[in-house]
Amino acid sequence: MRDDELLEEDPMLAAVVRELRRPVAPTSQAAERALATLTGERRRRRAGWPLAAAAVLVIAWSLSHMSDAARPVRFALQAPASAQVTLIGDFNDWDPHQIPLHARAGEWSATVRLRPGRYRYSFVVDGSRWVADPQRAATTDDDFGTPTSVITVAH
Amino acid sequence: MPTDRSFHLRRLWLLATLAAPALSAQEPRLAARLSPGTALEVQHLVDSATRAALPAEPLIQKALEGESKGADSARIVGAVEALLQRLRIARRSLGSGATEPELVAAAAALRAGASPVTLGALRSLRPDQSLVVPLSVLADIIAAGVTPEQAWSSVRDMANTGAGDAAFLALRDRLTNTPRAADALPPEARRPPTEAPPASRPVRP
Amino acid sequence: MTATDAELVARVRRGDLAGYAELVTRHRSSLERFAYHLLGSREDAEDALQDTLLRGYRAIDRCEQPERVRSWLLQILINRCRTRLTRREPIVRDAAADQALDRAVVPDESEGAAWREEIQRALAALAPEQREAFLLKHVEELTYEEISALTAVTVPALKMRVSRACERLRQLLKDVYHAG
Repeated sequence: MRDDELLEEDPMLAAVVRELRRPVAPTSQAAERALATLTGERRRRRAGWPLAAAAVLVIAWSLSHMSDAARPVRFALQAPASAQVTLIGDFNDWDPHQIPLHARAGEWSATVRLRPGRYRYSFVVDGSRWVADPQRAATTDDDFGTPTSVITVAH
Repeated sequence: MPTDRSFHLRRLWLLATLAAPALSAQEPRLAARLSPGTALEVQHLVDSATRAALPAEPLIQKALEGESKGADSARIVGAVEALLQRLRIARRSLGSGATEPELVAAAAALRAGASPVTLGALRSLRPDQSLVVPLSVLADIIAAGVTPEQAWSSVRDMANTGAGDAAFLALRDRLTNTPRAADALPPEARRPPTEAPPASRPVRP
Repeated sequence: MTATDAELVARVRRGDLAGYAELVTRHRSSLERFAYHLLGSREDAEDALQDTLLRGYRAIDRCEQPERVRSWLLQILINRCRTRLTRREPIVRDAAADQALDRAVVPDESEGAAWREEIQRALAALAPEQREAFLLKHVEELTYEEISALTAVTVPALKMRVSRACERLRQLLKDVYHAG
């Protein structure tokens, strides 16, 4: 597509877009407030406290589990000249066959659902070349001497 | 009484026999990916983690990482053993309530050079909140070249303000110069652009 | 198995608020990002998002394509943001994160933060309709046809807006990007 080519041809705009695609931090409380309001409305609508209490408990449970729930994390690598890029790390048994990335306008990417935590990972380009993620800091604690990056998934 | 004692002993023996296979059941991923000797040594370490109520998964991932990177047996076992040791220290510092992600992040902080004492101090500053992000940020900041003392001082000050995870991540971004940032904006480019509207950012104290 | 969006919408229609919480968890990051970049203020973005999520739940029966509930929520959000943009002064960028940082011991200012700030400033300098089209096309990665359906603007007009937005961003950021 014309516009994708435009991003590919213009590294500056591509850098701008990469930056803008990052999740906004800090995460807003808007969703929690909206859900709390809806819970309150429902409580008022429904007859009887037991049901209302149950509804509140369900929502409280969902919200408390939301913070520990897996969330989508996007991994991307600019590698227009490569034929294959895979993602490998603590979240997939370091198995290069599990998460192939898809190319679009020279950028290889995949979205993985991760629970809050610290994960180490690398890209493997064309089946043999280990590449750290240029978008995130490389670790200095690599035990095996290959480029490795680290990502922290927040609650 | 003898009868009671023998019943008690029999029950212990039964529990031990039931528990033993569970502890020594070989993790299939290790058997599938590592040489038999390496798999056995790593399995022993995994078992000893399980006995100490420490998480096994980080150790398995470490071993699989080594295999994937073509490391030899000694290096894989050494890395897993060192990680187990750090997980033990992390557990002692953070207490028995520490979660697996917290222990993993704490082990990374210890590896980077953080003191075990600081881990315990962080727990007391945030007794009811997850320490995953602050610990991981502490590890990243030290790894980026900030001294452990200075890194701890920044993280502690932020924890003292009751800051959330996002603020810790922003602190990390600020203290570590990622290569991407360097690509996107050379140091000379800190001056405001000529065509941009007047600065509306807050003045720093 | 994880429930699909359409399955969750069906649950919400049966009155399952936990199903809505799951939908919100799934799509909040994209919605938050869009509102923040379009409005340029964290406070306004929060209000617009909260409003959107309340309206979305109450009107879930009117969501015609449950499998595309994210686009549907995005459409509500676009309208909420437009309303906010029409009744206020030109945007100023949000400073909450910087203020939080100022409380910590910070020896240096990272270049990443400065670059992010320049991008926010450049975005704020775009006309709102150009900013909206640019964000939907390149950040949220919708097709022109999808954007047209959400915004009721024709595809040629959208292409023109995106192209002008790109041109202006290039102009505003080139000195920063190429310096050194």
